[in-house]
Amino acid sequence: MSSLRQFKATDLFNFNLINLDSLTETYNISFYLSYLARWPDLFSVQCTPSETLMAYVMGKAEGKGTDWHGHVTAITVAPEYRRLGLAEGMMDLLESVSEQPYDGYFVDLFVRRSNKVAIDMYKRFGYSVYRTVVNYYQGDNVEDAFDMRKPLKRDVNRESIRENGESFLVEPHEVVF
Amino acid sequence: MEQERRLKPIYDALEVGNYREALALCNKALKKQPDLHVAKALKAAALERTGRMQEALDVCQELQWIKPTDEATLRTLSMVLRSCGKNEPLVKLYENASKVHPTNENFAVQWFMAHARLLDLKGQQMAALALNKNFKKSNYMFWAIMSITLQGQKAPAAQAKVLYMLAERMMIKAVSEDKLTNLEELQLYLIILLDQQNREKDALAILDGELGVKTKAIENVELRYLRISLLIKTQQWDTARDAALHILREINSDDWRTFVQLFDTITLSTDAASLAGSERLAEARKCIDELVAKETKNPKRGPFLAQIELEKRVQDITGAKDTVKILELLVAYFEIFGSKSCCFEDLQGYVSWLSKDDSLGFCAKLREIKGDKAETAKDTQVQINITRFERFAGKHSTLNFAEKYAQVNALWKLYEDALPLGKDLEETERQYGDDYAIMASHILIDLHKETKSYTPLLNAAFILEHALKASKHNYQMKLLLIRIYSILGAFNCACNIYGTMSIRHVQHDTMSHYVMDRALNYGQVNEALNQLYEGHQIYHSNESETPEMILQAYKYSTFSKIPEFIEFHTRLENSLQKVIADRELIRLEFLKEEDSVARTVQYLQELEVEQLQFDANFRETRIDNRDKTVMLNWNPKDQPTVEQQTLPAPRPGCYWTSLFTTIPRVLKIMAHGQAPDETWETLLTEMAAVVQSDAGKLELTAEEIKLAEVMQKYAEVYKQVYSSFGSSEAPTEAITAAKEKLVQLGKLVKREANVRSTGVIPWSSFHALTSSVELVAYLNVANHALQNVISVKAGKKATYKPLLKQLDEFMNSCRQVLQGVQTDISALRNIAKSDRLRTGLMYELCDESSLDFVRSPNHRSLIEEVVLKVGSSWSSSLVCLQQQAQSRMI
Repeated sequence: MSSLRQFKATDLFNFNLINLDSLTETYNISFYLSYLARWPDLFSVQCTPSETLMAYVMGKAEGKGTDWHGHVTAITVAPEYRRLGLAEGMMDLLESVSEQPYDGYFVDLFVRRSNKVAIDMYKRFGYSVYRTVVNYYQGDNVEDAFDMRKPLKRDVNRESIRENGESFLVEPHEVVF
Repeated sequence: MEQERRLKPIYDALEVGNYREALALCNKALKKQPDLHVAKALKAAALERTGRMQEALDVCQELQWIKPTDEATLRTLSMVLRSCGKNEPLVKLYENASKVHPTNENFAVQWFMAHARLLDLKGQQMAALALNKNFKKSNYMFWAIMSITLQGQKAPAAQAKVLYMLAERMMIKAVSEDKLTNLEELQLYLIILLDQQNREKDALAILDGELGVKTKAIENVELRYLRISLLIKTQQWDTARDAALHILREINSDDWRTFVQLFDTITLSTDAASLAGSERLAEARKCIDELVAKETKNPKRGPFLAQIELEKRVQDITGAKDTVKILELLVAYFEIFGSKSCCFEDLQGYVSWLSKDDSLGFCAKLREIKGDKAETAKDTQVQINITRFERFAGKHSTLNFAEKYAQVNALWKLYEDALPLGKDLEETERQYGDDYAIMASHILIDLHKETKSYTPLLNAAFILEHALKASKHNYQMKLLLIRIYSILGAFNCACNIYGTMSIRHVQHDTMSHYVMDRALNYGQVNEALNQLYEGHQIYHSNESETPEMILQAYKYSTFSKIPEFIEFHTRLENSLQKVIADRELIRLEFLKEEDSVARTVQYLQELEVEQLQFDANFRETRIDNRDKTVMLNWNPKDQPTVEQQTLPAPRPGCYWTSLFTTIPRVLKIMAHGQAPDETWETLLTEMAAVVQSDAGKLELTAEEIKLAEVMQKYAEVYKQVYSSFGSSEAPTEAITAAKEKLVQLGKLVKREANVRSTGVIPWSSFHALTSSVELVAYLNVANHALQNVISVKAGKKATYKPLLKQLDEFMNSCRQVLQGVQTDISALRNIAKSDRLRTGLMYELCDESSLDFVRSPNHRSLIEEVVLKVGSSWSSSLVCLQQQAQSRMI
């Protein structure tokens, strides 16, 4: 029982239940608003009946030619509302928007190689590892990222995925669209 | 070419951050060619980057007079001006440039953007219309339409009508010319229609018509939702119901707002009398039951909760309460979702709808079914949920003290029992039993409230600090600890925890009240100032970033977001928290470090009065963005929430800010030696109104009310003395009256009681001490001002002698206040010494405590650690306060 709707700028005043969690970073105003200004339909939020924010996903559309796709920039669920399938609902919506109106070939996301819980979850949603980005995450814990992808209808020949993507290594500069 | 050759090194130097070299190169270039405007603009950029903002602005000003019209100069110049927060000049610059070069599209766009940055809607409209006329692109017309619509949203009704008519006419024209092609433009059309009254039918026709089909409106989540709302508003019940059911069946069976729409199609279309037997209701029940039946694997909560919601709604309308049925549904829901952390929140509203007996019955039923088995993490969550409902139903409220302590012990045991279940959890995750520790603290908070003793609060701090070691990132524990430490007067402890929470950006507006309300109270002025100035950054960011984002929305024609961004901007700009922080900053600046009256007077002189608004309109337009709901709360619905219970003092609001606006402003007038004028009267009327109004009293402490009384009385003295100067007759009467008032003031400022400690130095003790110091800090300025005024206006006239003598007497009373404060602080500092804490407070807390946790030898070192930490914070505060008191003994 959650209302899945587009994220509003003023939701930033009410997202503490989600953003106080240590794994969810709070960015500056421009970060959120620049996504809203460009891809308002790829930024969604799940709310309780009393309009408490439980989870949100932000995404963008990018790439050229057959690389044109939806990208999940961030997805996060407040601690109290985990294991309810909220992430799945938001991913479903993001995928369907990536398909229409954006008409993308696939949806992709980056995840820390060590984050087994998340990787398994995305696999359950139909994502597979396309390539490994070496040392993608910088800072205190330098780590590889998996670029995980799920093909959309437009990718008829399923060219946006591959077997054994784990062993396909690329450098961070190669994944900029 | 020559020019390019000369400029390239400058650009290079700027790019690599070598600003000094860039500056030298600019100067060199300008020497050779003084009218090389772009070099001048680059010079301004180099100056700005090196922090020489005023010099940069001076250079910009020179360029503004020249009115440059080349792209490079304008680009750099506008960049520098924006970095300096000066957006206004851009309008004129680009207006001029685009007049000189009417075919330059970029200049015209920049002219529009310059208006948009200032939220100058009328200017925007003009620029957009010009763009549309000269460059014939349809997005420029939509910019114009948006600009007109936004004006409509702000205008009074009659004017708004005209504006919307205009916007709509332009929109119809755009449609007829086939220019409306995408969803955002369609949304703009819908905004125009729905901002006006009774246009739902028209909006619906657009959505369902050709335009809706062309833009695939119905595939958009928001428009799908809007469409059903419009169907309901236009009473097309069947179509609305079918559309809602389609979403629930085919797209998202968890979508609550669509369920609510489905309910509306039933309850709004049928009168109360025939609702119970209506066909629509029967049909809806059937549909929801079907949805429930479909939820087998990983069931979504929506349909199950919809069953309960529908029954409650129907019973509310018909008045036929059938709690048996609701109870059944609630229990059934719990059976499925009882192991989900949010189960309590899901059902809370329904349980509170039940009678007290029924809600207790519900809890008993859950216990009966689930027992107290907690072998797995899931079991633990189920148990926690039952315990939450028990607290919510009031089970803890009826316990006596001993039983409450027993309950805390029981919860602590449950917490410890759950720990092994989480031994493999990641460091970032919470332990399964964390909420037991939190609830134990809630009960201890109840005990503190009932007994007025601080021991339960210290105990709660011990428990939470201990539990935090196993769940390093549990922010619920942290928030609770912040509040507990605040009440305990341990400012540093609260700040340290707050510092670990990665509070950033917009959160400074919503969260900083947890540590920064009356931060002055703890005497640690510099620490508080740093925190407040850091948090203040968000308001500057709002000024510089949000307008740019509004421009982005125009750039991408995302019209649906523009009103939203403007609202966001307003909410930060008019934030109540911002004013509270601003006023706290003034108080802190007043009490800063080694004081001298001269410094304070100087500070007052620099205070800009325009920044210190307080009138009713200002008050009413403040917006409260503070997050008061993020803290967990399972208290019974008729009792204050934990967030409210743990406020160390009344929550500051508009009235509080009025008080601390009027005080510095009155002082400012006195410090300038000005005659009491109209403003003066307004300020004092406001000050009196604040302390007399009920709403005002709810925001103020007794000390703050006393502060207002003293200031008001002092203002009377000042006014009377001033009136004596002008009168040609013997001014004796006014002087005598003033003198009499000073006598009264001398009595009024006397401290009512000494601040003594019984082992703890809580918020209230610090408040008593700080308030005295603050009061005298203000009075020192006032006394100084009064002396000055008399000496300037009356010279050494004998008539004023008795008054001056009385003023000396009064200053002596002020000194006595501070002497008393110092004596108290000396005694308190002894209590806060670590060896005293070990033998005194620790002993008192642990010996014969009713809490197993506290008695356990295993926790001895943690308890000592916390007590010493609190004591050290007290000491720091006391040292600061002592210095402040001392330096104000004049």
